[in-house]
Amino acid sequence: MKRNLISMIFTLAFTLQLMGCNNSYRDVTYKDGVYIGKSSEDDLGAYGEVRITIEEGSIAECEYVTWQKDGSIKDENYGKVNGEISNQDYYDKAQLAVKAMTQYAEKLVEAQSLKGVDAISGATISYSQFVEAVNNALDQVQE
Amino acid sequence: MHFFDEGKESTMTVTIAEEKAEKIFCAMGTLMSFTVYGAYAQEALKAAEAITVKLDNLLARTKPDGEITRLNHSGGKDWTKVQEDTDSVLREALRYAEKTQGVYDPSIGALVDLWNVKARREKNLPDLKEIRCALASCDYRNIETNHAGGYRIQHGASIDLGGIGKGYAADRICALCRERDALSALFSLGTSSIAALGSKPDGSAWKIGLRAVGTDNIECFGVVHLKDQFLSTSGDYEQGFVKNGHRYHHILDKRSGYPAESGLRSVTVIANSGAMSEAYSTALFVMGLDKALDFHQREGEFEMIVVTSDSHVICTPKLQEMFEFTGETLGYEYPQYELFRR
Repeated sequence: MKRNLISMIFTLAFTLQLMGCNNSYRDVTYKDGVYIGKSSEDDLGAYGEVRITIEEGSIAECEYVTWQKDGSIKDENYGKVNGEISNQDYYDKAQLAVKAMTQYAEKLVEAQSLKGVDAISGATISYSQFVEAVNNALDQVQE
Repeated sequence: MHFFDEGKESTMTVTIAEEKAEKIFCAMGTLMSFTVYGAYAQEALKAAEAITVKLDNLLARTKPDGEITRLNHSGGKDWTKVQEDTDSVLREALRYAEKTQGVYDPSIGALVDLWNVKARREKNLPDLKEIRCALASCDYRNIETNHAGGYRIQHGASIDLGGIGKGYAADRICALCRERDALSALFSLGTSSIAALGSKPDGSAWKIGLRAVGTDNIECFGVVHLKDQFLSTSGDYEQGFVKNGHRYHHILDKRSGYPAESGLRSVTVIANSGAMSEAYSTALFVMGLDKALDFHQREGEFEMIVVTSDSHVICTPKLQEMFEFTGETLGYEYPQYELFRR
């Protein structure tokens, strides 16, 4: 499968710093390794894939890629977010999922500027796709 | 901002850069993008974010401490008193449910769980028995009110405000901004609900691109010019799953118990109320073109742009001056229908 890496790589430390939240979540121990989780397919058969790298029991990197049905990478990723996530039980999973929306938000801003509009309206963007992928990856790594 | 400087030459005009406050954050299961202009922009933006997070916590049926969660688990015997915001959104939800004769229905939680939570996660279609069982509780008249902020739920109904919550939040945000003398702002709640407060700082209308369906890059089939109005879009893309080659989207038809198959791809509603525009965009999508046009003629409190499955764009007459079609190269057509002369 041809792969053209366009997604950003985020470290958890960076994520936590950006989110402005660095405490009040539980400790989780993970097995070292690289784990992959996929989301459901969207309308065009594209799906999100999260690759999570665990080093010394902690999440070291999280990389999100959206694949087209034909195996090429979709040039859209989600999320530039620095807001609140209230569900502490899934705090780190949700953070990773939300981070995966960064590129999509940037893409929206870029598209708005390109089209000369102030906002773009469409069906509700959902971060459940990202949450699903992250959950699927982390389900494999929890000891 | 321009002002006349009396101390200098009479023709002198000084331009002061407008204060602009922006924030992108996550709430209500989606991406929020807020921009406020003017001297009180920062303060208004903070208030806008705070009310959004508050409403998310109150209204989301997935939040254990939320009021809707509490109502859904309250049983049907006693009245449950709710906060003013919850009361307001429920009253509006029931009003639009009545107006649309239940096509928009806030009691559809059991069906949402079956399709958008269980089926999507497990990729297993619900069977007819499960659908019938869920449908038995879906009737907005099962949400009873004592008109004093008290509610009780009958017949196991489950409230889901997914089709109105963002629109209601948009209404509240704009009201808060006006109270703070912030009169020029644009709020996008998940891109599906947009509030255009006042006009842009230069006095021109806000330009909202309408996203084309089925393109890899973000493209727009049209642009709507908005001033002091709300816009909501419901579409069958973004959320759903594929099973046996068939795609099941997230907008459910209470009459069949299945995702709506109305021959439409998206409906955009423009109105003076965010709650109305969101509730109606969902309802009109489910109704399909003919019934949506009938409803528009009968109610007349909103304007709409409909995209059919064969990519025809239909715009109600009063909106045509504010709508600019840009979808030719994307395979969209904007025929001059005779639909409005009947």
